Amino acid sequence: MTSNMATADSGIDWRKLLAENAIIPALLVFIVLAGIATGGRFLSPSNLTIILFQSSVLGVLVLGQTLVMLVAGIDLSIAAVAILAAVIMGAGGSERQIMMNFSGILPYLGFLPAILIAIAGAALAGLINGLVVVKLRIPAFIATLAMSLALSGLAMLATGGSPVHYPDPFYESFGQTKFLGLPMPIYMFLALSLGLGLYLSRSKLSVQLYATGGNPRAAALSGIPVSRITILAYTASGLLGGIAGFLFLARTGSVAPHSGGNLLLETIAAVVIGGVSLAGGKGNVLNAFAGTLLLVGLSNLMNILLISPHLQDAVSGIIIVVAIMANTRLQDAPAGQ
Amino acid sequence: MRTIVKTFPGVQALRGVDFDLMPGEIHCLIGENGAGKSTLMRVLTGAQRPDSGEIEISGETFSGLNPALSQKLGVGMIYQEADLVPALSARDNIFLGHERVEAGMILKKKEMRREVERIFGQLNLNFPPSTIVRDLAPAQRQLVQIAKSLSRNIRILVLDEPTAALTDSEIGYLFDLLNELKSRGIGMVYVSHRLDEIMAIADRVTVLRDGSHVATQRIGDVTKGSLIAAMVGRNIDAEARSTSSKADKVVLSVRGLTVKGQFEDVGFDLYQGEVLGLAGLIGAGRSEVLECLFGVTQPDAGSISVEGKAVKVNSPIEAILLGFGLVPEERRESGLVLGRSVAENITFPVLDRFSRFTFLSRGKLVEVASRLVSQLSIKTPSLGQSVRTLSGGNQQKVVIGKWLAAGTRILLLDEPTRGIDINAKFELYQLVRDLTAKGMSVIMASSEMPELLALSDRILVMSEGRLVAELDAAMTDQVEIMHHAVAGARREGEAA
Repeated sequence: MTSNMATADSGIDWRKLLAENAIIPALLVFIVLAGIATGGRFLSPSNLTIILFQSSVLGVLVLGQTLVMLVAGIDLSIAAVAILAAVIMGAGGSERQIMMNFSGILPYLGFLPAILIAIAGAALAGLINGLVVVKLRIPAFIATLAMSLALSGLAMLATGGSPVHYPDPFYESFGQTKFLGLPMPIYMFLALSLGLGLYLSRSKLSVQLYATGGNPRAAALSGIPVSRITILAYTASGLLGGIAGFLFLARTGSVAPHSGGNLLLETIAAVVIGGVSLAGGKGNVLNAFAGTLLLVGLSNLMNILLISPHLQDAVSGIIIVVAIMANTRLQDAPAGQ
Repeated sequence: MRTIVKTFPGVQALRGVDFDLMPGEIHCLIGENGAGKSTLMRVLTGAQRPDSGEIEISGETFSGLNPALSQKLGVGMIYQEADLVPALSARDNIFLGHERVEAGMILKKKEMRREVERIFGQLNLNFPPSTIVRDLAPAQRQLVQIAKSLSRNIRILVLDEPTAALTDSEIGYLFDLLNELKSRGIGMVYVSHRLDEIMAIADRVTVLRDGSHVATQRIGDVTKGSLIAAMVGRNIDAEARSTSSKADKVVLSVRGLTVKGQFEDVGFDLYQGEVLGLAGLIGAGRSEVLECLFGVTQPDAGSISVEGKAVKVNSPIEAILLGFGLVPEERRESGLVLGRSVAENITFPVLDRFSRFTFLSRGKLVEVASRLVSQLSIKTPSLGQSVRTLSGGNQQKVVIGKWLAAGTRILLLDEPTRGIDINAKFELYQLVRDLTAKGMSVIMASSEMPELLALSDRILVMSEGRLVAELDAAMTDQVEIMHHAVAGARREGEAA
């Protein structure tokens, strides 16, 4: 063991840096290979825009999921939060849509109130998740699964199962408005990712998040407000779920109670491919962001190559396992001696 | 084992070490942390292959072993840190991986139960084998590990710091047991930092230093002083007494403190600059008292006052604000976030000082951390190094550094020198003296009596959750302390 006296940082440990951020070179290699495999079509500006556009909803959910996973939790309700938020925004925010509904459970709220209520409700769902996990000591897996079922039920109840087809026209026009050639949702997605990434890199909160996830007992005994940090992570996850609901509506122009589809599993896949540890305390927003792009890019590539959707799922599954294996190996290797 | 060489990237861990073990012999292996003891033993248990050299077991020669082969040859190993499945019972752990079965799959429960009872009887264990390991104290877990290796058919047993978590009476049981194994012809390699134990149990002793073999001698031919000199390459005064910094001002006053099921009616005063030793057997309630003072548990009765003011400590955060700092018994589990950096671990309690509107000034944080790293001479390649890779002694300094940063006035030390090498121990002792000289007060729970005697002003002895004696450290000795610690336990036993 080489250990010498040092009073200041003695340079950068490149090997460790690479081991912890392997997803970045992996993403670059993937982009080059995908470009070659498709004769450049993958790299065309219009295709790259599509990838970013498709990443926007998933990418925002991934931010929330990352925060929760950093404190060694998991948020299985995040996709349901997004869908319910989209339903409230779409149905409650549009007079025309409310007339279509039979149940009448969701009143007409008005455009702006609907957005605010949906996002506040999403944050509230996250807060409840956090309180249940911390105060009632119910495992995150169970607590958020229950929340997911409850919210999906609410979405069904509010819509009677039928899709929200006529949200306020604002959503569709927002989704199609372009600035410098890129649709607005992409800017929102990038701004949120960048903002959160930068904030975490220079805030007290990030040190507290990693300490809480890395070793909650030691963190608590060092004076870190572990309960508050954990609840905060779940609340932020809910809030980001609400924002993702907004982007969902803007991207597709409609939402059905079942629109979530694979969204939840994709958030977990993207986070894990990005090297965020399910055990907590390891990983970062930038890598999770790269994981999202890799996952969406892969599915886009397979579409271009006309690979059957069924096979696509299998390939994604294999990639997830390979990514976890690579991350485990890389991160364990330097500590071997 | 002949001329074993093992090189890791950047380090030559073993430079041609010879080692031999006879049947029915206890051969102690000593050396500072990093001397190569663990690596040598990993070569023997097959966890690592040597680069060169050969291993001969019962006449068969190998250039390297693997774990399965090593086990087949009858090599058993007891690790320093218990490696048991916490969710299973002691009994299930003992037979884990070599369950007795019939018809290929049916567990022979009765037979295993009898076997475990026999081993428990041998070890004098006073808890039922059906206890879930998670609910056992660290010492009890260690004993289960020993029981586990006894349930296998072994010819060579490697014990790596087996007594680190044991109290003196438990060590007594262990030694009786080792002597019995010896009479059955089992050869044992005993790796330890504790020289008293080595003098008591060893037949021969081998000293390693920096990956090289220094000496192998019969135990009758060595003294503690000569062993220490061989380990560190120079002489160290092992029994240095402290000069007291105790002042007349009472800093902490505890009256009738009780946590039901843990300890009862604990009361004492702590003076400024004093080191108050807390002695007792494992399970006497020492750690529990410290945790209660630190706000981890809430007292059912009693009062705490700090500098004359009655206080209620509802959480560690409040304790820290009151000037308490806890260095917990299980450093890796409770003291450090292993995956995070030295700088972060040292500044956890004082993050608020470096942040404004939640934005953190990394510059200030690094400044404070780097000042503490040099003040405590913590050996780390960089401040960004994750504490996982530091040695035990340096990890412990990081935990203490955390409280220096926080401006702690009452330092609670729980087994502060467990599992750290002898040089680091002396550094820690000196550190405690320096801190008390500057007016810090210290409560130190320790199972190492020489350490309690050398550092403390007064020693409180706990037994079965009660304070049974207050002794002047200058006027007492190990025998008297042990007498109080055990006498209390015996009374409880008679009452029950």
